[in-house]
Amino acid sequence: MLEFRTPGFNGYAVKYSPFFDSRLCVSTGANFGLVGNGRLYILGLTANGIECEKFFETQDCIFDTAWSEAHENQLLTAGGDGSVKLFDIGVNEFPIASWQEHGKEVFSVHWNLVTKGTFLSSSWDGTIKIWAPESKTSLMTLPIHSCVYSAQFSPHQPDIVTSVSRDSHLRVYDLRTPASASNHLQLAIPIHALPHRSGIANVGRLPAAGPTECLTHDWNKYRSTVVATAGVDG
Amino acid sequence: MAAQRLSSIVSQLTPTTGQNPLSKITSKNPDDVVITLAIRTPLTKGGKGGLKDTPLDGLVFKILEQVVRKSRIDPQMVEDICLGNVSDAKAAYYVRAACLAAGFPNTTAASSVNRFCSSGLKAVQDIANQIITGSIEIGVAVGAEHMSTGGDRLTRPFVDEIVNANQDAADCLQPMGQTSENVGKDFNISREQQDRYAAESYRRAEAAQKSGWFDDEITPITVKVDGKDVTLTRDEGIRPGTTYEGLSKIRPAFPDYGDRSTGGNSSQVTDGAAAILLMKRSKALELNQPILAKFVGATVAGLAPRIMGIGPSIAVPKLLTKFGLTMDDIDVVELNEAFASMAVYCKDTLKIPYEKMNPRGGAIALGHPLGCTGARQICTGLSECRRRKAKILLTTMCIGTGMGMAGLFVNEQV
Repeated sequence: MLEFRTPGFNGYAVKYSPFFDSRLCVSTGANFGLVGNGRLYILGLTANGIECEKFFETQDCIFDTAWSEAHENQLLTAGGDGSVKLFDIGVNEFPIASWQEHGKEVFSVHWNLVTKGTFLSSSWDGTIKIWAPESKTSLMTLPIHSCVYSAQFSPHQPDIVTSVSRDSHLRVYDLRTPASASNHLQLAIPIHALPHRSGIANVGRLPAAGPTECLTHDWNKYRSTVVATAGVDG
Repeated sequence: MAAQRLSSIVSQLTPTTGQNPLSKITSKNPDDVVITLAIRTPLTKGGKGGLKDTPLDGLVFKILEQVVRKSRIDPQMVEDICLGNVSDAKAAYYVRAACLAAGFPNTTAASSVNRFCSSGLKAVQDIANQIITGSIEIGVAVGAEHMSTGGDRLTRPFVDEIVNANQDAADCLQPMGQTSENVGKDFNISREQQDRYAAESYRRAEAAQKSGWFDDEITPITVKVDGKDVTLTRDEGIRPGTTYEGLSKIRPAFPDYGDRSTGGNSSQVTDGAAAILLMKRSKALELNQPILAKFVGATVAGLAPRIMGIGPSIAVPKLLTKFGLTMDDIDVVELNEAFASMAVYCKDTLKIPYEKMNPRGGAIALGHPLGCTGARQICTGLSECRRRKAKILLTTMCIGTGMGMAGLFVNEQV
């Protein structure tokens, strides 16, 4: 087991590069992300263990990071100051692009795994924004009205976006639908109300739970209809 | 901004969004104080029953032996033992020597507490509080009383300054029978109501004993009775076939004070002991100890000494309010039947549905070994919760000199 320490900075996300099997990035923030700078580490797995190729410093904590699916040297950061930044490993110190549209902390960024030309960000300001790296402004904004801790493109269908938020709901969006009053929203599933279906295995007896914040989620890469969520209720 | 992030994370640690009071107290957290063993000896008749020749130190020794045997815990891990006892001024000596003899190393400490009839529950609270604050990790609370030896009454009145200070202070001299008659008169609990209540307590206890419901609470012990070894397995106080008619014929026990309380509708003079093993949930999981229940909390309330019997009617609402609960949320209530007068009053005032309250009878039929009762109620209450597959247990008792105490537990062996 290899170890790399980020003294003074506490980690929030770690991602393998989709292009290089020995490259990782780690997004961190000082003081557990409560206050202080952020740092994005680019790490390499070598015969001598984990080595830091370089790091980038930001004004505020970096809550999430995502490698570009289109460009092997570029990666995104989700900033505590509401910024989404694009860094290039070949360019020192400063990001090659920075978008400041979110009003509050950005908690997740995710690159579209299928079409590879767009990415999204989700924020405490209750919105998900869809972006393209060439564009100076966001392509689309999806309102959720509740802090969105995590959002992802579906790995199976490039126009499907899912999110989980503080209000204990998993929401599914279809970006192909015409923008209307529902703002592309297809499904809003309350996570706390467990549906009583025989197909769902109950481990022990699950108590009737109230709504609790849902902090993260992920798509099953092999089953196109399965998503896992995890939240405050444990 | 940092403050916002901090409060957001803090609210995730103690989530309250959408949590009702019941799910808050039943939630399982690593720092919960949990009970991993709750056992008691049979309750025997004071002066003439199976434990008459086993004085307090012998009784505590026997129950602690059973704690070591039944819990399979390494005795070295127990850091403190608290004995709730009322009558014996030497209780602290006895529990210390008894625990050393029962298999605990001299690194296990011991102490005694006395809040009269609540001493057993107070011992549980003492150990639980030490665990919560991190003073100890594992402790045993014992409630034990050898009423055959006597010693529970004052031997002299208080000094003049106390007796003459005010009515409440002077009223602390009142014997319990007098306070029972006070309750009967002040709150109009008739002789018939008291006898009917007592008959029902006997009926429930008899049915419970016949059905074997007490079997998982009682740990048999072998003691000497008149020089011979006897193994005690059954509560002796239960008088099968007790009827209202029979009880109504019994002469008043406290004729100087009134005519409603009798030997038949008051708690019996009894010997017995009970023990509760407590630790944090995280520690119980680490040691593979069975988690029987969660100790949620306990509280005490004071009131006028002359009507001490109504204690539960003050302590219970105080405790339930602290947790945002109502009587509807409680599944089983163990209310100590010091006298039928206060049992009827408290049941009616607290509006406890009778099927929830003392379903296996109470102190009138089983006996009230003073310091033992607080711990005994936990054993009985949890056993009943397991039988009913119910969760929330409330224990409560009145306390001589004018107090009430109540404790709240969540049965986790549903």
